Amino acid sequence: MNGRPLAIMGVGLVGGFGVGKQAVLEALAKGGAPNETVTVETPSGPRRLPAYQADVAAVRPFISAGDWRRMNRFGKLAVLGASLALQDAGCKAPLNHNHLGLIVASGYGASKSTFDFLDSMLEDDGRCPSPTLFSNSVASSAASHLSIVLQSGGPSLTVSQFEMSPLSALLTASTWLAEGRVQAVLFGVVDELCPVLSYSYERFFGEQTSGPIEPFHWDKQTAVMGEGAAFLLLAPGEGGAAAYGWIDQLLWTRSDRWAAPADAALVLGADGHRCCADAYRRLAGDHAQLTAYSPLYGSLPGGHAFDVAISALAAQAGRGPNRVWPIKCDAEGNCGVISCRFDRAPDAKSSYL
Amino acid sequence: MTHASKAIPITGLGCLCAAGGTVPEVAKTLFAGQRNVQYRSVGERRYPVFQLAPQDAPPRYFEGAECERCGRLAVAAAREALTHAGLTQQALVGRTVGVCIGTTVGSAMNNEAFYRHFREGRMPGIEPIRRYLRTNPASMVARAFDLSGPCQTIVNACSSGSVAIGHAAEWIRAGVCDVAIAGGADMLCNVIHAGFLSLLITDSEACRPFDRRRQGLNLGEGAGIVVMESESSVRRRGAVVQARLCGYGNACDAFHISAPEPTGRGLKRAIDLALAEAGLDCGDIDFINAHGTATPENDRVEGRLFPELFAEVPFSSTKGFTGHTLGAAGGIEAVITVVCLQRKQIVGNIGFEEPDPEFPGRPAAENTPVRGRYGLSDSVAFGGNNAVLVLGGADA
Repeated sequence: MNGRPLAIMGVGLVGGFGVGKQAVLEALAKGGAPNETVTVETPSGPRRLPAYQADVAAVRPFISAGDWRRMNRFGKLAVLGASLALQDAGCKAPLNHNHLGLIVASGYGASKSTFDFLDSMLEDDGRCPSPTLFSNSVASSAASHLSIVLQSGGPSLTVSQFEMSPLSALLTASTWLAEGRVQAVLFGVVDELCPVLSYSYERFFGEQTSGPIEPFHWDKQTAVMGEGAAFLLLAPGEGGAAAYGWIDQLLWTRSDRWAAPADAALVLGADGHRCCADAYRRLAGDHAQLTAYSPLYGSLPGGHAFDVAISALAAQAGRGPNRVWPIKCDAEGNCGVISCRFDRAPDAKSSYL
Repeated sequence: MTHASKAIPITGLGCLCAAGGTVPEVAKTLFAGQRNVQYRSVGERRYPVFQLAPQDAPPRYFEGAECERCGRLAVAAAREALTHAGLTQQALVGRTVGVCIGTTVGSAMNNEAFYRHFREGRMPGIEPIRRYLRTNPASMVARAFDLSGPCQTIVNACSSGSVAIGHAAEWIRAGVCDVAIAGGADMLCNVIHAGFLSLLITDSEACRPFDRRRQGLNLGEGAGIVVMESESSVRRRGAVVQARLCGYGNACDAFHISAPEPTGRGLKRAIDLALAEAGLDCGDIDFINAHGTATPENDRVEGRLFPELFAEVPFSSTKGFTGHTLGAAGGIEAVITVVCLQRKQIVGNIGFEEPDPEFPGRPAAENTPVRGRYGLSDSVAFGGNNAVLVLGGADA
C-alpha cells in the first residue's frame, strides 16, 4: 500500500445474518448460526446441509421493477450491499456522476447464472441458449448492473482471486484514491451459493459439513457454506473524516513469513477449513486478542471483506476493539493483512461524492 | 508527479495467438497480411475461429485439462516477456513482483462435461472442481515463476487485458511492487461460443471489422503479456526499455448489460482520461489500435468517435488476424501496439473492403507508415466497461 489510509465512510452487509447493520449487531450479540439448509444428492441419497443464505428481497426499494425482473440474483446481492453502504454514508442513488470507482470482488462469480446458461445450452440440443442468461453469467455483470443502477460512469473493476480477492481489490482501491482517479470507491465482495457449489461442498467434505463452524478448532473441518455481499464506501483518509475509521495498511505476504505485532488484536478469517488452519494457528500464536466472525456469515471466499465491515460495526457499537488486523489465508500459502483503526471521527459525512 | 515520471517502462513483451507463437512470429504474420482461420463445430454448425496452431501451443495445451488452458497461455506469454526483459527466475528471487492477468474463461466455473453429468444426476467426481480451484490464471503465473507478490485476476470481460496493464502500472507507481507481469489470456470454449451465438453477434465468415457487410466477431484464443518495471528497477539492472505506458483510462457507459452506448460516451471519457494522464492531446496520437470486433454496434461506435476526436489519425483493428480473444484482447493488442511503435508502421485492417455509410471512420486497409511516438489501444467490454491505454516509444 502507498501509506495513505482509506477512510471507511459507509458499510453495507447482507448475508445469512440478515440485511443491514442491525442484523449484524444482533447476530453478534446472539452468536451466529446457519439460517437455512440446502438439499444435495449424494450416492447414499439426499442430504441436507446447513448454509448461510442471503435474502435479496430487500433490494426492491433500490431498483426499478424492470431491473428487478431482468437482474440476476448475483447482481441483486451486489446492488443491495452497495446501496446499503451508500445509504449508510448518506448518499442517494442515482449518483449521475463519474467520480466514484466501483470494485467488485468475487471468488466464484455469477455461478448460478453460469449454470443456468449451461442449462439453456444443453436443453433442446443447444438450439436455444439464452442471451439474457449469458449476459448475466459474465463475471463483471454485477459491476455492470451497479454502474447502471447508480448511473456511475467512473472506472469499474471486477476481481476473481478466490480468498485473496478482497485484498487484491483493495490494493487497487487504494491506488485509485491515491492517484486521484476517483473521489471515492465503492468496494465490495459478492459470493453466491448455487446447487453445484453445494454438491461440490458435500463431495469435498462429506459428513464434516454439518456445522457449526468452529474457527479455532484447528484440527477439524467445520466450514459451513455462506453467501452474501459486504460493501464499504471508501474515501481518501488523509482529511481526518471517517464514519467508522481507517484502513491503514494492506499487506500481501506469505503466511509462513509474517507475524503480527505481539499486541495486535487479530480478526482471523478462519472459517472452519482445515486446509488453512495451520496457517491461522501459527499466526494466532499466543495473541491474547483473537476473534473470528465467520460463524456470523459462513465460509465464503470474500470473507475478508466481511471481517473488515463487521469489525468496523463492532467497534462503533463498543463491541470490539478499535484497532484490529483482519487476516485471511488461502490454501496456497498466501496471507492477506488489513490493518484497521476504528477511532470515532464525528461529522464524517462530508461531501466527498 | 510529472506526466513523464508517471509513465511506466515496459521492458518485455510476450504473445501467442492464432497469428503465431511468439511476438516476432505474430508481427511477421500480421505485417504479411496472412490470417489463419480455422473452423470449429458448435452444435450442428461450423464457425470460423482463430485457434492456436499445435506447434505454437504451450506444452500439454491440447492434451491437458481444459480449465488449465488460460493459465498455460498466460505462463507461456509471461515466459517470453520475462526472457525478452532479461529477467531470469533467479533475478526475481526476493523481489516483489505483481501479477495482473485479465481473462473471461479463465475464471469461469463452467465445465460442460462435469455439469452435464451433474444435471443428469450422475454424481460426477469433483476432480474438475479441484482442478478449477488450482487454475486461477494470475496464481498459475505466480506459481510458475515462484513469485510471492500480489496477484489479481481481472474479469472485466473484454476490457480485462487492458485493465490489467493499467492497474499493474498503478501498483508500480504506488510501490505495491516494482516489477509487474500484466496482460490477458483467454481460450476458446464451447460455452462462451454458444453465448456469443445466442447474442447473434458472430459472423459465419472470417470477420470484417469496420466493413459495411460485417456481421459480427470470430472468437480467438491467446495471450499477450508485458513486463513493466519501476524506473529505479530499470536503472538498477540496466534494462532495455521497449516502450512506456504513458496513460490509462477506464470508464463505464452505465447504459446496458451487453450493448455499447451508441454515442460512445464511456469510451470517449476513457480516452480523455488516458490522454490527460499522459499529458497529451488527441493530435499527439499517431495511430489507434481499435477494439474493432466487427460487430455492427461496436464498430459503429468507434467508426463515429475516432474521426470526431482524432480527425485523420489512422486506425485499424487486428482482430481479423487474432479473432476476438476476449479477456486476452487488450494484452495482445497492447503488444501489437508496441510492435507498431517500434516499426513505425501499423497493420492493415484485414477484412475491410467496403466503407460503411453509417459512419465516417475508415480504417487503414493496408500497412501504413506512422510517426511512432504514441499509439492508443482501446478495449470495449460487455456491460459498458471501456479501457484505453496510451503507449509511447522508449523515449516517450
